[in-house]
Amino acid sequence: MYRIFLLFTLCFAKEEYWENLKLDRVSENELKAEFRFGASRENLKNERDFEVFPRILDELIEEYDVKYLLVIMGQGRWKDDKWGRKTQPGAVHGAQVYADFEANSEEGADKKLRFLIEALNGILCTSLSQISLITSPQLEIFKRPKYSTSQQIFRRYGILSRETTCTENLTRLRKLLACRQSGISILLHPSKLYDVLYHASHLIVKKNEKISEMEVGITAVFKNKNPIQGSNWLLSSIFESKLSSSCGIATKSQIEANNQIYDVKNLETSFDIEITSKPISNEAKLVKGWTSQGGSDQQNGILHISLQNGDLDSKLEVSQILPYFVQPRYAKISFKNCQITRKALQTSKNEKSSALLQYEIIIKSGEKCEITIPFDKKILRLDDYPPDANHGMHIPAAVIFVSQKSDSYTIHTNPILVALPVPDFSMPFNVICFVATAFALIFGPLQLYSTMWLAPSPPRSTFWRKINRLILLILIVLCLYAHFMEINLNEVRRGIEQYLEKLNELR
Amino acid sequence: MSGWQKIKQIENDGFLFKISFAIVLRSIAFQYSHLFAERVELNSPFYSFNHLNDGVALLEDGFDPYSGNDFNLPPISLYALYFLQKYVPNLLPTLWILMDISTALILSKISGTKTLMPFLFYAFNPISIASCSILSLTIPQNLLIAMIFWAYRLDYSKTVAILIGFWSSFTLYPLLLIFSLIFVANHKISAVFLAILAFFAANLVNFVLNEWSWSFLDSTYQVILNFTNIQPNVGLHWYFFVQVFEHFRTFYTSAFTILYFFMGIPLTLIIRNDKEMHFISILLLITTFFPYPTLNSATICLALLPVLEKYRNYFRYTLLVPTTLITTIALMPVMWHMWIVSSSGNANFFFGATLTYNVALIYLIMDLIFVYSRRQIDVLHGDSIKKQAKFGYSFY
Repeated sequence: MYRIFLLFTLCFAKEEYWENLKLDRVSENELKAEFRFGASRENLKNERDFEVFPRILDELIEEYDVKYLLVIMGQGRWKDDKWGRKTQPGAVHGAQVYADFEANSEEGADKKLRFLIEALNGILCTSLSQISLITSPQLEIFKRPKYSTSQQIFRRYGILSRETTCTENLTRLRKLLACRQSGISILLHPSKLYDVLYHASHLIVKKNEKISEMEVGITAVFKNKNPIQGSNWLLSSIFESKLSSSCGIATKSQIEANNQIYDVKNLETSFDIEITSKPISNEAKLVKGWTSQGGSDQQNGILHISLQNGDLDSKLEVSQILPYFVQPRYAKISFKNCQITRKALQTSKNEKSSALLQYEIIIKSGEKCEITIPFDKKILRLDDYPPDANHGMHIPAAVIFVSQKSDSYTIHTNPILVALPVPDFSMPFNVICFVATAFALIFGPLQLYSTMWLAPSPPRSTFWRKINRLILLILIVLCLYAHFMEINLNEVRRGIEQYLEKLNELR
Repeated sequence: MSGWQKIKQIENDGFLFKISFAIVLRSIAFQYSHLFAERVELNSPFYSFNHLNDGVALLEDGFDPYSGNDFNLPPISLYALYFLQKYVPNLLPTLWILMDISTALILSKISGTKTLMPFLFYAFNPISIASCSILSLTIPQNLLIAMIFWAYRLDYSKTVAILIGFWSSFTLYPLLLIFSLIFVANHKISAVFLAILAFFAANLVNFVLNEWSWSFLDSTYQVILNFTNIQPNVGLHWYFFVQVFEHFRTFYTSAFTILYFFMGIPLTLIIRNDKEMHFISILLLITTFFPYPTLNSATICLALLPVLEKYRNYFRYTLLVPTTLITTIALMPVMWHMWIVSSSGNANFFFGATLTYNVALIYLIMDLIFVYSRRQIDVLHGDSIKKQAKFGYSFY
C-alpha cells in the first residue's frame, strides 16, 4: 500500500503550499496583519494534474509565456511615520501591474498583454482594461531577474489609480488558495478586512525553468474602535472568526506574533492568542515622498514631487508615469536640492501610451529634494473621455525605490487628480456641419469660377417677370386668407374632390 | 505737388523713425512676453518656441525627441535652435526683432515707393509684435514668405522654387505654391521640379541631422496629414477631429487633405493673368487650411493685400471681413478664458470664435477670386459696360 502511494507521488509534479500570518502592533491602537500564502510547482512536461498549485495560474503562465507577473491593489494611506516601512512589495493607491513575458514582436507583445490583462480581470475580478502599460526595458524599480530564453522578453508596467479594491477581489484571491475553508485563510473575513485604515493585496506569479511559484498576500492595518476600553487584540475578535481547523496539506502554517512563531499546522482545538507585544518603535526615519499639484486652469498644471530623506544617505530611483493626457514641458522641469545622477525617459508613438520619467537621485540624510514638472493638459477625442468627464483623470503616484547602505525598499507618493479641458459632448453633428460648411464655402466659388465665366448679362424683357411676380403675390394673398380664416387645407382638398366626383356623375 | 504726394513725401521722410518705433515696440513687448507665452492664439505645435525648447532640452539630455508624439518640428529647426542656444543664447530676442523688421522692410520694398501700407500693416500689427516677443516660429516663416514674394515679383524663378521647396519641408502645406511657379520662368515646368527637389533635399538634411533616421516623418508630416494633434488652436480642424466619430475619421482626413491639395488646380485656371493675385490667394489658402496655424500666420497675407491696389474698387466684403476678423480676434481670449479658466462657458464658445475667424478668411479668398474675375471684364469690355450693369455666370 505504502509503495503504491510512493509510486503516485513520484509521477506527480512536486508541489508545495505554505501559509503565514504576521501580526504586529504598529501603534497603541493600530495593528498590522500580513497574510502570505504561497504555492510552488515543479515544471514537468505533459503533467496536467494539480494538487495545490492553482491550475488557472499555470494556464495563464503557459498561454501568455509569463516569466514574472505582479498585480498589487491598494487602498488607504500608509503612515510612514507611525507604521514604519510599507509591506513589500509596496502597494500604490489603485492597481499596479508589472509583467515580464515572452513575445515575438512588439505587436505580438501588445496583443498578448491585452489578453493577459483581460485574463487577469477574469481571475481577480478587477477592471484593469483601461490601464495603459509602458514598455520599460530600463525600469529598475523592481529587481530584474535574468532569463535564459530564445525569445525576446518584454517588460510592461502600469498603474491605474482609479481602480478600487473590494470584496470580490478578495473572494477571487481566496479561490487561488489550496486551503480555502481551513487553515489561516479562514481568517480572511471581508467584513473585517475592508473596515481598516489601509488595505493592500497582491498576487505574484513567477516561473523559471524548474519551478512555477505564486504568492498571494494581503496586508491590513486595523484600528481599535474603542480606545477608552483598552485594546483587545484577540485573534478571534480581530478577524471575527475562529481558527478552528488546520490546513493539512500545507508544508508550513505559521502565525508570527508576540515575537514568537506559533505553528498552526496540526491544530487539535481552536487556536486563539492575544497580541500583547509592545508597539514596534520606528526610531529610524524613512524616506518620505509626496506629490502635490499646482496650476489653476485647465490649460497647464504643475506636478510637485517632494522627497524627504530620513537618517541615512540614500539613493532614490524616482519613476513618474505621465499619462497620455498630459504633455510634460520638458525644458521647464526643475529640481531643488537634488543631485541627479541619471535620467531616463520612455515615450511611445502609440497615441494612448504613457511616458515614463525616471530619475536617479542621491540624497544626503535629512535633506529635502523637490522635483517640479510643469505640464500641458490635453484635450482628448470625444470617445476617450470617461462617462464622468468633468471628474478629471488621475496621474499615477510616483514610485520611489530607495536603496540605502544595508537595505532597500519601495515607497509611493499619492496620485493626483487632474481636471482636463472638456469639449461639449452634446453636439458633434453641429460641429461636423459647421466645419464642413466652411469647407463648402471655399469649394463653391472655386467650382463656380473655374467652370463658368462672370459676364455682364444682357437686359432681359421684364414683362414675363412681372406676370410671374403677380402670380406669386396672388398665391401669398390666398394663403394668408386661408390662414386667417382658419380654413383647413384638407377641407379645401375634400371640397375639390367632391366637386370632381360631381363632375364624374354628371357624365 | 499735390496734397497726396506731399503726404507721401512726409511718410518717406519719417521712415527711419517708423522703423525705430517698430523696434522699440518689440523691445517693450519682450518685457511683457509672459503675458503671451502661453496664449493659445499665438502658439501651435508647429510654431511654438516652447515646444521647440522642449525638444532641445530632450536632445541635450540625450533622448530622442521623435520617440514620442509631443514634438512635431523637423530636425532642422531643432538643431538650429540647439546651436543658437549653445553659442548665442542672449542674442535670440535681437535675432527675432531683426527678422521681423526685415520682413517689414522687404514688404515696403515690394510695394515700392508708392505706398507704405504693407510696411505699416506688418510692423505695427499687435499680433506680429506679440508673436515676436514670444519668439514664435511664425516670425522666420514670415520672413521666408516675404523673401519668396520679393523674388517672385522680380522673376527669380530658381530662388523662388528653392525657397518654396525649403519652406514646404517644414509644414508641407506650402507645396501648393508650386502652382504659382507657372507664372515665373516663362511657364517652364523645370521650376516645379526644382521646388520638389529642394523639398527632398531639405528632408535629406533632416534625415542626416536626425542621425540617419526617418523617425521625424511620423511626428511632422503624419501629424499634418492625419490631423492627429487635436489641441486647440485658431485653425479649422482641431474641434472637428475632437468631435468626429471614430469610424468617419479616415474619410474626413482624406477628404480634407485631397480637397486642399486639389484647390490649386481650379484656382490656377481662374487666375491666369495676375501672378501677385495668384500668389496671395494661395498664401491665404495655406494660412486658412493649415491645421495648426497661429494668428500671426495670417498677418503677412493681410499685409500683402495693399499690393493688389488695382482691385480696390471691386471688393465686396470691405466692411464684413475686416470687422469680423477684428471682433473674432478680440473675442478669442474672452472665449478661451470662459472655457478654460472660469469654466463659465464651454468649448463651443472658443470654437465659434475660431470658426468665424476662418470663415472671414475664406470670404476674403472668395472675394479675391471675385474681384479678379470682375476686373477681367472691365479690362476686356471696359468701355461697353454701364455702371448699373447686371452680371451673371455663363459657360465658356
